[in-house]
Amino acid sequence: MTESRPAGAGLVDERPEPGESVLEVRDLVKHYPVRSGLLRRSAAAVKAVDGVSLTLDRGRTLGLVGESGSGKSTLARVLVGVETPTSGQVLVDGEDVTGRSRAGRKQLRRDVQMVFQDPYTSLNPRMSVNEIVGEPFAIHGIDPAGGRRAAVGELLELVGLDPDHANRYPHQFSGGQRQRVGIARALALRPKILVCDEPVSALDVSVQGQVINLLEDLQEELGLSYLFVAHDLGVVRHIAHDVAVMYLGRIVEQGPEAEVYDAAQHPYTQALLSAVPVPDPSVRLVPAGGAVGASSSDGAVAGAGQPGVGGIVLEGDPPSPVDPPSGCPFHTRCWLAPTLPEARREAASADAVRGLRLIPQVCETDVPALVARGSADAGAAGAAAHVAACHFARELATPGTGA
Amino acid sequence: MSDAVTPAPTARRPGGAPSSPLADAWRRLRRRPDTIAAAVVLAFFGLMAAFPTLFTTTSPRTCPIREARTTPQGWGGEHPLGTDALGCDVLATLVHGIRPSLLLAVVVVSVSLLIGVTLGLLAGYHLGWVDYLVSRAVEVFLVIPLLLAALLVLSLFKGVDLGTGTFNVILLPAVVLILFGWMPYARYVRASTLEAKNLDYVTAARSLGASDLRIMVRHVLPNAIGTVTALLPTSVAGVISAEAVLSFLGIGVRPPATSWGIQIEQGSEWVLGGAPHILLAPLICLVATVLALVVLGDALRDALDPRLSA
Repeated sequence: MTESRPAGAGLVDERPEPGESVLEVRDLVKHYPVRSGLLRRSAAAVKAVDGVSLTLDRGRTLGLVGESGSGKSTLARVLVGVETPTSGQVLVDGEDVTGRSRAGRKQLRRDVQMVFQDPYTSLNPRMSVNEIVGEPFAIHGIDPAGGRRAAVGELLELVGLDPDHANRYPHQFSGGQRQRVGIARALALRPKILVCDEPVSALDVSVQGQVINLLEDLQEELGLSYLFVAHDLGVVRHIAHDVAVMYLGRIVEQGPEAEVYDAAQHPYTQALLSAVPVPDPSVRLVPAGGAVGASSSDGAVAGAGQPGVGGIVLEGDPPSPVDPPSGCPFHTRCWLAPTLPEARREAASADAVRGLRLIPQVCETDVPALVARGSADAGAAGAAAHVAACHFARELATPGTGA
Repeated sequence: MSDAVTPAPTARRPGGAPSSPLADAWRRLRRRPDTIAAAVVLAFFGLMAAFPTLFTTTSPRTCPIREARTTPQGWGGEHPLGTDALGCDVLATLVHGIRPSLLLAVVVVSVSLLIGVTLGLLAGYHLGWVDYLVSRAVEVFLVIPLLLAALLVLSLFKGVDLGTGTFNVILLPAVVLILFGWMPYARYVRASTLEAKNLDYVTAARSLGASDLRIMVRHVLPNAIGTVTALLPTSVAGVISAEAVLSFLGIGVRPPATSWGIQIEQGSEWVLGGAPHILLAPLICLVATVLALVVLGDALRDALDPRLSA
């Protein structure tokens, strides 16, 4: 392949056409077999990503949030082709790339590139910046017009680094500068999509802002689409146009940023949002007195189940993705379910010694579909609809984003 | 870009003038006097191996028995380092024994390094059945005692005449020592490969579409080889002394050729018998060689690692 794609130059002509999807994921599943016993038979599977569908429009940013272990990094790795999906489809520009040959996947990798979380481990310490940023050209056999060195210089300039520093090694740069080197490497092949796996969570807050602004500038300049994986909801709110919330390998809520943040429908999203620190000392994060001290888990959950009073405190760890709960995957930790009238009604009628947590039966038996609920969304033409996977989403009161 | 930052002034040289990594490595190497001394020692022994007649005119094969165990007579005497138990000149034996010793050490260490690094890298990178085969092979070779295996090889090659060239002389011990010397390298490299291959920059290379070979050679190996380089100088010493043991069994360097290993082996009998110089002369040379290799190996590793640059 001797096609010349000068980096940085002439990129502006590909202005994004809004509404056109550049990346589409359909029912993506990634299971890791857990082998045990003498014969290494696969006994179970870690369901890291369990049926995820999402769409990324050209020139837009989709924020993907969730706690650790929710499968967001696995999803990112599948999208850049480091992992092969167990089933499902990944469509880049309408073309399915999961069933491709090796050569076809190589082409995919030119379109989808990744920015890594830790700038200290994502750059090979024994390679100079020139070699690191120039490696994509070497791998794909591309000889940019004006030579690789010049192309590397242009890329470094594009991300705000001095091209004269191309001979330096990663350890001679600060964390923010290293992350810029990583972004330059990802941009070398002129991708359409950048998958950013927590690109700023390893950086100082002051540097975070610079890198986020750089990413926004690059999006405007090059018409890039971002899949922005993060656990920092504040950062996601700043950069993302749309937000998807993941829990145990599934998307539980998805929609435009403003709607998800201001009118969260899923109890998990509401719990996440209530955990965001508010820079205002008058806002109390811990629920008042009695709820925490209550003896049974019932009491604590009930006490926390008043959004608006304080933070919603979820109990315990996420369940194991090897054996996720039946029905709604969130029902074991849901703060909302025990407070619902359905739960109380069932408790009164059926066997009263069923367990400590009384929740509506439907939460345990049926997997909630990811559908639009409530009233307002129906008419939102074109734009991504606000959807949530909760049986009782419509019954939620005003979400608990602080006071 | 409004937020373009000026790079931190981390580099010592102004302006970041282009300079090749090799030139940098040489500059750093030169600044260390111990490195220079080690290089001089190795060059001296190298010269001795290449041109033994520059250092002695006596043949190591003229051994008048009545002059046995002559004490060192100093420079200018007939036997500057004395004679050994059979009356052979120690200096002459030393000078003529260096070639097979060093050649054997270099051949054995480099070939077993090549085998060990290749197998270890493949096993650690691919895991699965490759790893299974390599790991079991390592274990099998580790449990067979060296001497037993040496006897086996000896019996296999008993009747074979290998000739008298320097390389032919060391062929048998080289085969035995390589056969039973590659395992540590394979294990070390496999362990560091397991560690290095999950780092983000390897994932980054893979997401760029790099081939397995490229990832192994460019990304994993340079960062996994460090532990092994520390092992090399001492392995050289180990090979030279192991050769002496093999000579004792008759599969080492065969007479009339000599080696440092044989000299040390023979000299050790007379340490308390009034002739310690027979042992000390080759031993000091061996220690000097190994120390020089250690120092040089250290310096080379530091010089090639950009993180340790001054």
